[in-house]
Formats: sequence, structure tokens, C-alpha cells
Amino acid sequence: MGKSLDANLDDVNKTSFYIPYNPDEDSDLEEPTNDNQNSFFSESENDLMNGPELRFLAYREAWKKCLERMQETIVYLRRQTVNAVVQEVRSSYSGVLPGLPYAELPVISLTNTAFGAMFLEDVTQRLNTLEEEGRHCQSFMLHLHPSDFPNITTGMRSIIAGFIKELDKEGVARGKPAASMANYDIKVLVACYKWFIEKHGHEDHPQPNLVLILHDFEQIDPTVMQDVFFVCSQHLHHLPLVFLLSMSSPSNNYLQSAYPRSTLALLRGSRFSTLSGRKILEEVVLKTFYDAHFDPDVVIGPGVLECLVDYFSRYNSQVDVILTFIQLSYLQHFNADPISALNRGTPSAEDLSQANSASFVQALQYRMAYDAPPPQRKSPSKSAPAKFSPSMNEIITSVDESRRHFRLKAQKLRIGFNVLLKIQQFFESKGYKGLEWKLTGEKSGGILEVILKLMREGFDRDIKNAYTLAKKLKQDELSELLDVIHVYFDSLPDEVRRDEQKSRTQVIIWRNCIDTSEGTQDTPFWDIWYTGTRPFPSESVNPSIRSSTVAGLLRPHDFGDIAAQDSKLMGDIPALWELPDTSILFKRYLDSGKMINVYDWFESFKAVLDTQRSELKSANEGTKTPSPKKRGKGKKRPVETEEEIEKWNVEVQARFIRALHELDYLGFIKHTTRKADHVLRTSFDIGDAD
Amino acid sequence: MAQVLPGYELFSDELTTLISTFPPPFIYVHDQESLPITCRVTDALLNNISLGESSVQPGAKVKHTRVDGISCFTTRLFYEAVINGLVGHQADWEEGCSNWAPEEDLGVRWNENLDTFLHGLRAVHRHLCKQNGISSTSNTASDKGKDKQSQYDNVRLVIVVERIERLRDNLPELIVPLTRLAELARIDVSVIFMSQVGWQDIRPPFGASPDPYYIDINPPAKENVVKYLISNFAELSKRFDETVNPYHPALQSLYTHFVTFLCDVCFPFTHDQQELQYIAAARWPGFVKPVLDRYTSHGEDGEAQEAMSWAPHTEEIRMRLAKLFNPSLNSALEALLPRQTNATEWSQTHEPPPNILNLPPLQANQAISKSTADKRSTLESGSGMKNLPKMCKYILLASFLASTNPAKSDLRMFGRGLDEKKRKRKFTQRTTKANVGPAKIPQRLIGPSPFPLDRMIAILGALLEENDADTWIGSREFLIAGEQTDLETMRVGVLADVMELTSMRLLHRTSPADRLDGPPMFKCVVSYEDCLALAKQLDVALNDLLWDPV
Repeated sequence: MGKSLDANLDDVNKTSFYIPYNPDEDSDLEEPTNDNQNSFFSESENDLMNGPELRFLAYREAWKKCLERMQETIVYLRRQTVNAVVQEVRSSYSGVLPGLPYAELPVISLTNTAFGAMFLEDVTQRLNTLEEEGRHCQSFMLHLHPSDFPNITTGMRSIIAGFIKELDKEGVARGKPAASMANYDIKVLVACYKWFIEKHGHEDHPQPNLVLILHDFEQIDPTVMQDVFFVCSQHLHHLPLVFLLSMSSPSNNYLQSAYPRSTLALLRGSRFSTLSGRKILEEVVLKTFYDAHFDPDVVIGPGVLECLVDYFSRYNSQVDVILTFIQLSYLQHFNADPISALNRGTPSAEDLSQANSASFVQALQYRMAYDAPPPQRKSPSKSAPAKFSPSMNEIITSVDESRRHFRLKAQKLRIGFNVLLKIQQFFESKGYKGLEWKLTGEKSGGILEVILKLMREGFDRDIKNAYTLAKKLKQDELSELLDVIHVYFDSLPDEVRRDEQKSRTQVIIWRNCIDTSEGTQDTPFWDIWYTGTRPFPSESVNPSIRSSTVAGLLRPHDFGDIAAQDSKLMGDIPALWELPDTSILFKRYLDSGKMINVYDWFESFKAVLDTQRSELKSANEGTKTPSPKKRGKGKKRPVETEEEIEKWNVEVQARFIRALHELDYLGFIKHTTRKADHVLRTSFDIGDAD
Repeated sequence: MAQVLPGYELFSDELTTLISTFPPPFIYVHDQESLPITCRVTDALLNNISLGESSVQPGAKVKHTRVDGISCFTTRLFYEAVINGLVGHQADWEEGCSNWAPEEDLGVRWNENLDTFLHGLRAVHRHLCKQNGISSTSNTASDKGKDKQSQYDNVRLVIVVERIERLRDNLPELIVPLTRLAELARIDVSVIFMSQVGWQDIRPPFGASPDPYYIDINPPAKENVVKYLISNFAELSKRFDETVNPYHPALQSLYTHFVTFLCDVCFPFTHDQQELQYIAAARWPGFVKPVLDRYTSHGEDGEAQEAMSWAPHTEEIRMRLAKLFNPSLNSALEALLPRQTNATEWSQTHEPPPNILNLPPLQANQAISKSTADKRSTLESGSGMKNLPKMCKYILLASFLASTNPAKSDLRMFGRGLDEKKRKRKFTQRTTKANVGPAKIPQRLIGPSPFPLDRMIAILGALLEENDADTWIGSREFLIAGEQTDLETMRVGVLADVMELTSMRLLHRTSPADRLDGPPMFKCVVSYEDCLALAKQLDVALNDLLWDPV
């Protein structure tokens, strides 16, 4: 892989690595034949002219809008903890409890399981501000990572050099290194800080804190770190150091379990943890897709949401997972169907009448004929919908109309859902069971389960239930409930409020405003803006390693280019000799017992290759064209010389060894010294074996 | 001479006499319980001697410095700390933080090796002699060491080395030269080692070092600790300017009672004065708050503030306070001694509600416990392993089982054949009882044992099959039993979670990361209690799955 592999593959902090594809390195392999590789989206049937480009643009717009909204929500979610941490850092040296036997080193542990690096970035940004609320509050920050602490000397050197760089930006003085103090001596930093205070000290804020941010604190060797803590704690009167430890461990007593009491006694430890778990997902999804203040271009359907909820609660509860899943579903949405190009706007009639777009327009016409809402179906063509062929302008108007209709409906649905939610929350706060929604409690699935159910089954029953239940409320309770709903409607954006004016005047508000129980899928062309029940490609996000490997070996052609896949879809399973060498060897592997005699294995492999050779030869003689699949074939002469046979045998041996090594590399073989010429199988019970 | 800390009278007499008359070249101070305090006492004492406040032999000048074995983690640091410390040299940033050097030759280096260090010490000695007006020239300096008893040169250096046990670990090569420093440098120098460890554990082999002059510090007696804590009060009350503060001189008698009781409760558990002072600092502001509240409320009432103000507290108030707060001393000890929380935080959570003395005693007690519980619950919300993803919880459980159960028991515990499961378990229990000999130590006392990843995945599969299989989405028709479990347990997400847990230090990887051969080995470092809590969240009966249940 060479130079492109700068990443340290041994880094235990990373669970995955990105190895960029470098076509130059594999230039000896087949050249990619796809001319359209610059485009992200592949062209498909019934596509518009420039379809992929249009769809990519639409995707970019839609995703940008959605991402901004999600990031806003996420920033909001972590703001509270960020504020608390910043407050703690600023006040580390003020308000110290009097009467303590010695000064303690302030150590703030941050448990951050969900937000990743963004959280610390927020904290850093806030700490970087020089003035807050009119007060001067400078502090110096230094970010260090576990690799900076291989031993105490290097660790101290990184701390001291880092802070000196911050404090003495001009590089005022440096003597001869040999005559001066060691650069890992904390007294150097003390001297530098003293100099800084005399030179640049601010009257309001005489001693700016030195904040040391340690990333991935769990990875730092405790034996090194405890000495660093000790050395730093000896100079607290001259150096107001604050340690910020970023941890991912949720058990929140990592310090207690890894460090001795003598070290802990030097520290004043405080703990902060960010929001974690299901709450984050709920907030992000509700604020992005079920909030009347935001109108996403593509609404995700139950198929995607279910996968997201499952993956988030089962495997990985990080915020990045939500972003990745929604981004992928957007990509999939715009990639899968050419019609999604119409998401944000409709191309002009001229563009549509281009020859390349003819099949796209035709598809739209068909859709209109079948999808058309009832009033259009009563048009003259109602007797023969197949021949219904609207003009270009009619198509454009119809799509635009559907877009408006869909937006309106989605908005109504969002408001309706929120009103129902408010009602249910009201019921629960009053101690009633309310609807069949379990919003709180240990075993409940939370609000997202409710949303999934609503998306699948519709709102009808719940609206009716809410209505019946509300009727049973007492007079004062009902008026309280109406107040809650009134406040909600007041908080809606202006333009929405205008639309809902009518419903606000009604006595029983929700009945009217959420009278949208038919769901979004009834709008014509709904699939332009809604992913519906289309499943999420979760296999590509979270594949099963062993089964993918085995499947790849058993059916290599399914993983090749699409053309090959199509031909295989027709049902003809390739014969054994048509497979690549490794697959042939693997098939034979599956036929064997627990131990494999390598010579027998080779013999059986050779037999298959002989068949392959003769098959190819006969094919060549028939068509006179070289095989596209195999290298180094093409024996044209019918009679073979001794030399050629010898050469063939060597080739078979070489190919065997290569395939064997590939299987070995994949971990299917275990070497043993128990029996000569034998290897052990490591994989059994493959159901697919035939 | 300044006041000597209670309990240190003998020590300070002995050391003062030694240092000011004829000090042995090598003294070893062994203090098991309260080394920081002893260091402080020694510092103060040497300061006094060097300032000439003690009865020193006429004309003798003592210069001292203290270094510690943790901060001096390289020989260079040690040499620099000693030489700069003896001269009293401070680093100056604008001059490039240069080390001390005598006027005559700049650019000499004394931090390279032991030899240069000895030269440095002699230069320091010369310099100090000159500074103090003692005639000393370089050619006589070499003669001095040989017969220093007769030709006394009047500057004595004292080097205190703290935490010598760490110096032995970090820089073992320094121990022998330090014990023989007077011989090597041929000047009047005395080295004092201070440590919690006895000399017999430090002593270099083959008798390379001479035997030291031993001084052992006895563990502090309770009455001395009480005296020490009370003596701190006066100093603290000087720091406050406000009229209402917890360390007002008028509260001293109350503090005396408080400290006495605190020592009664805590002394059996720790003899460390600093720890007891720490607990006192955490509890005192809350303890005295009702009195302060009363004072301020009276102050608001009228002019008679000064009159009633700091009248001696009646016995009744003292009893009431003791009754209200003394039970919390135990919890303070439990929380603060292992530093589960810090003193500031603890004193905030245990701060009593205002004007507690106005309430009847029973209600006051309830009010205190309620406010403490409220504050604690707000602190502890949203923490813990509750929010881990489900698969992580299962992986932790599976690893815990793999770490505690013997590998041989897996088939019996998790294997599901055609036989009834229950019968199998009964059978296994009988065999364990038969096999367990008196010498066998239960696994939970040995600690977790390492296991290969494959074994954990297999146990995980069994756990998932049993408890979680019905929640998998998109389950296709799987013909073979367990096929889907096989598929689910080998997903990238599972392996990524294992790595994630390792980076969180909930699992510990025992095999090196660069070994490709064979499966990686792990250890589960989650406690039984945590696992039990996880199992409860997942509805798994953990005790049924343990080979040797607690």
C-alpha cells in the first residue's frame, strides 16, 4: 500500500480506518470501464437528461439543509454541559474551601460518550473568549494526546513546551540549552509564567489559568500520569493549572479505579458527563423531522427510522451514527429513483422535451395516469387511463402542485403529531394513562417507537381515542389542556399560524388540525419527498464479516460488475471451473474433513484447472476469441509438446500456492505440525455449502 | 525559635542538635504515617538553623535544600535542583532560565554526571564561603576534606531527599553516591533521606553504603493530632476579613469540641493529620452554619448585633449541633478518605438548610437528610453504564462470564442439545461440589482470567439466542438453528463495540495489539455489582449462568 498508508493501523482508539483507493497502485489490474465515474450517482433507465447531476445538486441542497438543522439541535443538546464545564474551569481557583491542608490540583473529568470531538471543540471555543459578561477571563489551553505521554520526561516536556509556546509567543529569551535548565523541568514553566504575569498581566484577572486538555485519558499510562500529577501539584502556588480529562468510559469512576489514593489525594476531582443514550436520538429526530419550525426536503420513512433506532440503541450511541444514517438514506433516496430530481424544483418544459429525457417524461405520464387524484381522473380520459397523456406544462403544474400539497400535508401532520404529543404528556402529567403510548419508564421504547407505529398504522385510532379521553376530563382540566395547546399554537412560526387560524378558532382544536390521518403517501408523486418503507441498506453499514467473506468466496460473481450480476440473476449458477482459483480451492476445502491433506487438495484443484483448460481451449477453437476471464490462456495449437505440459504443471502449482496463501491470509487455514502435509480447517458448518 | 508542632518536640531537638553541632554525614528519617508533615517540620527547622535562630556552633553557617524523588526523574533534574536550591538560585525567563554558575567561570556544566556534580557542590561551597565572608581559596579547599574536624570551614550543606523509594526506582545509580556524598565531595555536607519505607528496603547490596544515623518518627498520638488541628484554627481565622465567617476567633471553643469528636470518630481509620484536617475542612462550614445563620438573622433584627454576637455558645447549642452533624462524620470519612468526592463538593452537598436551629430537633434532622439526598440525586443523575448500547451490555456480560467461568464449563452452562437444560445444570452443580477441594480459591477472589475473543463471541451468541433473538429486525427465513445468531455475532458492529469497550477500559486486552496469530485475548474489568446491574437491565439471570455463584 506504500505511502498512502500513513495512518497508524495499530491505534487502539480507532475502530475503523480509511484506506484511500489509489488507482495508480493497482494499475496492473483491469482498467475501470465506467466512463461516468466522476458522477456520484449512476445513470439509470427513464432518467432525465443530466439526471445524475440534477439529483446530486438536489441531494446536496436537501442534505445541507437537514444537516444544519441537526447540528443546531446537537449544539443545543450539549450546551448545558459545556456551560457547566467552562464555569468550573474558570472558577477552579476561586472559592476554594478554606482550611484544606494543601492546595489541590483541579482535575475535571469529562465523560463524553456520544458527542465525539465536537464537544471538546465547543469547550475550547468558549474558553478561548477573552471577555465574558464584561469580565476579563483569559486562559491558556493546551491539547495533549496519549502519544505525548510515553514516559514522564516526554510528558513533562510536552506540557512545558506547549504552554511556553502559548505564553511567550515572541520567543523572548532562550539561553544556551546546556547552561540552562532542562526543558522538562517545571521550574522553567514557572519562570515563564512569572515573566508573563509581570509583562502582560491583566489587572482584573491577574492569573490566567493554564488549562491542560488531555484527550483519550484512559489511554495514558497511569504510572506516568500519576507522576505528572504529583509534579504539577507541587507548584500550584505559582502555576494555576487545570486538568481537563476527556474520557469515553461511562463508568465514571475511572480515576478511582486506575489511580492510587496517594495521587487522588492531590487532586480535586470533579465530574461532568454529557447527555447520552436514547434521549439524543429522540431529540434530533423530533427536532428535525417532527417539528413545525422546520420543513425538511426529504422526510424519512419508517424503514430508515427503524434501522436507525435499532442500530443506535444496539450498537453505537454516538451522534455521528445519526448523521451518517440520515445522510446515507438521503443519498439512497436521490440515487435510487430518477424522479427524485424533482425534489426541489421542476425543470423547464424545454429541458423536459429534450430527446434524452423522453423516457423520463413518459414515466411521469404513466405515474400521473395512475396516481392522479380523483378530480383529474374525472377528466375526459377517465375511461382509458392508459392513454392519458398530459402536455408538458400539465406535467410541470401537476408536479408543482403535488410538491405544495405534500409540504402542506407534512406540516399539518407535524403539527397534528405535536398536538397529540402535548395531549398525551398532559394526560401523563395528570396521572392518567392516556393513549397507548408509553413515553416514560424503563422498558418503554420511547417516543420513537410511537412514531414508528403511527407511521405504519396511521393516526386515526389515536385521534379518536384522544378525543374520547379528553371529553371525559373535568372542566378545569380541560381548560388547562386547552391552555397548553394554545401556548403551542402561539409558538408556531407566523406563516404556519396563519394557515392554522381556522383551527385555532375551533373549540376542539385537534380534531380539525390533525385531520390528516390519511398519511403522506396519498399525495401524488409522494416518493419524491418521502422515503416511505424503503429499507435502509444496513448490511453495508454493519455487515457480518464471516458470512460476507464466505459468500464472496462461494459466489464471487455476485460481487463483480453489474453486467455479470445480471447474467447470473437469470439463474445459471456458474460451473466450478468458471470460478476464480481461490473460490475453486475453497469449494474443495468445504468438501474435506477436519484436516486437509495438501497433496490431495492440490490434486483435486488440478483436476478442476485441467477441465478449465480444456473448456477454454474448446471455446477458443469455436469462437477464436480469447477468454475475458483468465490470464495466460489461449493455447492455439492442438498438439502439446512435453515442454508445454511441463509449463502448465508449473503454472498450476503456482496458482495453487497463490490461492492457498489467500485462504491462509483470510484465516481459513491453521498450520499444524501434528501430521505431515496436513493443515487444519478453521471454518465449519457453512449452511451455504453445496 | 518558632513553635514546634505537637508530637515533634523530640525529633526537632535531636535534629537541631545534630545539624548545629557535628552532623553525621548520612541521616535516615523513617516515618510511616505522616511523611508530609515531617517534611514540613524538617524544613521549618532547617530554615531556623540557617537563619541563625537556633543555637548553632558559633560561626557555622548552614545552607539546606530539599528535593524529592518523584520530581527529580532524571539525574540532570536532581543535580540542578540540588545546586540551584543550595544557592537559592531562581530561574529567570529573560535570561533563558540559566542554571546557577559562579561569577568567575560561566559556561561550566554541573548537570552532566556525578563527577561534574561533585565539582558543582564544591563550587557552591566555595561560593557560599565567600558570600559569608569566610576566607576560602581554591587550593585550600582540597585539603579541607581530609581533616575537616580540625580546620572547620564554617559552611555546612544539608541536602534533604524526600521519597527516596522513588529515587531508588527511577535513578538507582544515585543512592550509593548520595550516602557517601561527604566522602566524595570532601566538604562538610550532610544528606538526610526521608521515606515511608525503612532503610532495609532501600539499602544497596554488598554494603556499598555506610549505615545511616536512624531517626524513626512514631505514629502520631491522638491528642497530638487534636492539638495540631486546633492550632490551625488561629492561622485560618487571620485569613478572613468578613465579620461572619466560619473561622471567626469566637468559634474556637466550638471548633475544639468539633475536632475532638471528629478525631474520636476518624482516628481508628487514619492517623494522617492531613487527612483528618481535610475531613474537618469539609465538615466544619456546614457544622457551624446554623450558628452563623442565627448570628446574621439577629444582626438583621436590630442593633443589638454586637452585644449578643459572639457570646460563648451555650452547652445546649453545642449538644444540638453535635447531635445533628456527628452522624455525618462517618459518611464524610467513607466518602473523603478514598476520595470518592472532593471536600468542596462534599461540603456543598451536605450543607444544612438555613436556620436549622429554629426547627424542632426531629424536623431538623429530617430537613438535613432531605436536602442532602436532593443534592446528591441531582449530582448523580444521568451517569453510569445505563446508557451503553444494548450490544455493549451483552458483550460486557459475556466477557464477565468468560472471565469468571472456567472454559471447561461453557458447554455445560450454555450448550443446548436435545437434553433438558435443567437436568444438565443440576448435574454440573453436583460435580462442582465434589471437585472443590479446600485449597481451591473462588474465581472472584483470584480476579478475572483472560479469555480469547472467540470464546466470548460464542457465549455472546448463547446469551443473545436466549434473551434477545426476538428483537432482531428483518430476520429472514433461517433454516438452520442458530444461523442468524452466528450472523449477528460476527457483525462489524459487535467487533467495533469490543474495541470501543477496550478503549473505555471496561475490557482489558491482554495480548499485544500487533500480534496477528491467534485470537486476541481480553479480560473483563467490570465488577460483579456492575454486571449484576447490567444483567438486571437486560433481564438476564446472571447468577444462573455463573459456574460458581456468589
